[in-house]
Amino acid sequence: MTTRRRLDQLDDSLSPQEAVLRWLAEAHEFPTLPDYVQSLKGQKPSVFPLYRLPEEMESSVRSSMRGEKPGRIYAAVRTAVRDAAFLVYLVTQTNGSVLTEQRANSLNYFLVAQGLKAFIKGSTPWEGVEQERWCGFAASLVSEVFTLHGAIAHIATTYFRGRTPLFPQTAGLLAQLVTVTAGTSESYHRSLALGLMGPKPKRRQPPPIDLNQVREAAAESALVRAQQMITLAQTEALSMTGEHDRGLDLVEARIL
Amino acid sequence: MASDIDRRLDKVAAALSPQQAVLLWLQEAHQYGTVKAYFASFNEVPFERYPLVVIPGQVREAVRAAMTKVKPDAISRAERNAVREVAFLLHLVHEFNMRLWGDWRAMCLQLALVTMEMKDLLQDEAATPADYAEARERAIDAAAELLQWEIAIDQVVGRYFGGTSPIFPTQAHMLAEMVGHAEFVLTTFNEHLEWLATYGAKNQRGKVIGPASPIDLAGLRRELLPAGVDLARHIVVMAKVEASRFMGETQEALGLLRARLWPDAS
Repeated sequence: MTTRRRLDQLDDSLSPQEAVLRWLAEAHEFPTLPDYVQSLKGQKPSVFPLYRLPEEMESSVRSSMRGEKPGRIYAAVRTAVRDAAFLVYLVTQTNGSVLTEQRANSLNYFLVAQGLKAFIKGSTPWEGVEQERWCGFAASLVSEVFTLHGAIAHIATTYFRGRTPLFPQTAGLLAQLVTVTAGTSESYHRSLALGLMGPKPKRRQPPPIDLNQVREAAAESALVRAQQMITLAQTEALSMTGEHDRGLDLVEARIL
Repeated sequence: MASDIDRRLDKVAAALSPQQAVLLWLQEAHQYGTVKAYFASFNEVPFERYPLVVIPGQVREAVRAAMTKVKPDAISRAERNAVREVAFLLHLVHEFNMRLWGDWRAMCLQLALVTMEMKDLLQDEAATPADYAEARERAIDAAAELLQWEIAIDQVVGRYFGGTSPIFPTQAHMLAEMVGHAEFVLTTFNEHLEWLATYGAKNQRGKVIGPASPIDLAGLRRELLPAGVDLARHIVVMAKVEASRFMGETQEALGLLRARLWPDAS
C-alpha cells in the first residue's frame, strides 16, 4: 500500500471531532471568525465547512462500514454529519458570543477602571449613588467576563480536546479582558482594605460589594451559559438534518 | 367541540393575508412586553401552537379559500409564496428584536461612559479644546448608534408592519428613553458651550474663545439616515435568508447571504 493510499484511508476513518479539529486548525490561521468568513469570498460552496465536513463524514463512514446494511450506513452517516455540524455551530456560537459581548465588556471595564481611579484619587467620594452605581458596573463586569471565560473553557475541554474554539485574536482579547478584570477586582479589594477610598472598614464590616464572591458565582453561571451555547448549536445541527422537532425539544427543555 | 364564535374566528383568520396574520400575532405577542417573557410563555406549549407552525397553516387555508376554481399548481405556488411571506415577517420581527437586544448592553454602557466623561469635562476648568473635541465626538458616536436603531425601525414599520413597531413594547420604551438620555447629553454639551460663550474667556478683540462647535441634533439625524437605512436593509436581508432556509431553499439563502456580505463578488 502506498503512503498516499494509507493517508487517504486514514482520512477516511476520521471521527467528527477529528475532522472538525483539523478544519479548526486551518481556520485558526485567520485572526477572527469574520476574517475567516471573508476568506471564503468567491470560493466554491464545497470549501464551506458546512458542505465540506458533512461530505468528509459521509465518505469516512461509508468507507469504514463497507459491506454493512444500507440502513445502518445511512443512520451512521446521519449521526456523523449531525455531530460534525454541531461542532461547527459550536465554534460559530462561541466566537459569535465573545465578539458580540467584547464591546460591551470593554466599555464596562473602562467604566469600572475610570470610576475606581476617581474614587482613589478622591475626585469622587466613595459613597451614595456613585458608589452604588460603581458596584453595579463592577459586579456586572466580573460576572459577565468570568461567566463567558468559564463557558468557553468548559466547551473547549468537553468538545475540542482542550483546544479553544475561539479564533486567535478573539481568544487573545478575552484573555486580556480576564486579566484586567481580575486586576481591577484585586485593586478594589486592596484599596478598600488599605483605606484608599475612605476610612478603613471596621473588621467585620463587609465591603459594599464582594467581587470575589461574584467571581465564584460566575463559575456556576458559566456552566449554564455553556449549556445554552451547546443547546443552540445542537438545535442548528438538528435543523440542518431536518430534525426540527427534536431541536425545539432541546430548546424547550434546556433554555425556556 | 368548537363553538360558533370559534368557528367564525377561524373563518376570519382564514381570510387573512400574510401581513394581516402576522400583525394579529404581533399584537398578541406584544402583550408580553419583552421577547424574553414571550419566549418563556412557550414553556410546555406543544409545537403545533408555535407561530411558525400556526400562521403558515392559517395563510395556506386563506389562499385555498380565495383560490377556488384555480389549477392546483397555481394554488400550490400561491400557498408557498404566502408561507414564505409569513416566515419572512416573523423572522423580521425576531431579527429586529434579537439584534437590538444584542447591541443593547454595549449601547447603554457607551452612553454611561460618555455621560461620566462629559460630567468630568464640564467641571474641568482646565479642559483644552482637544478635550472638548474628543468628548464631542464620543457623545455623537454614542447617540448615533441609538438614533440609527430608531431610523432602522422607522424604515420597516410602515413598509412591512402597517404602522406597528416590530419591537416589543418594553424594549421600544427603553430605546425611546435611551435616545432621550443621549439627546440630553448632547443638549447639555451645547448649553455648556452657550454658557462659556456668555461667561467664558474672550480674546483681545472681545470675541469668545469657543472650545468646540455645538452639536446640530437635527443635522445629525439627517446624516445618520443612510446608516439607519442600511441597518434596516441588512436585517431585512437576514430575515429573507432565514425565510428561504425555512422554505428549504438553501441555495437561495446562500445567494442572498453572499450578495449581502460580498456585494462586489462576481
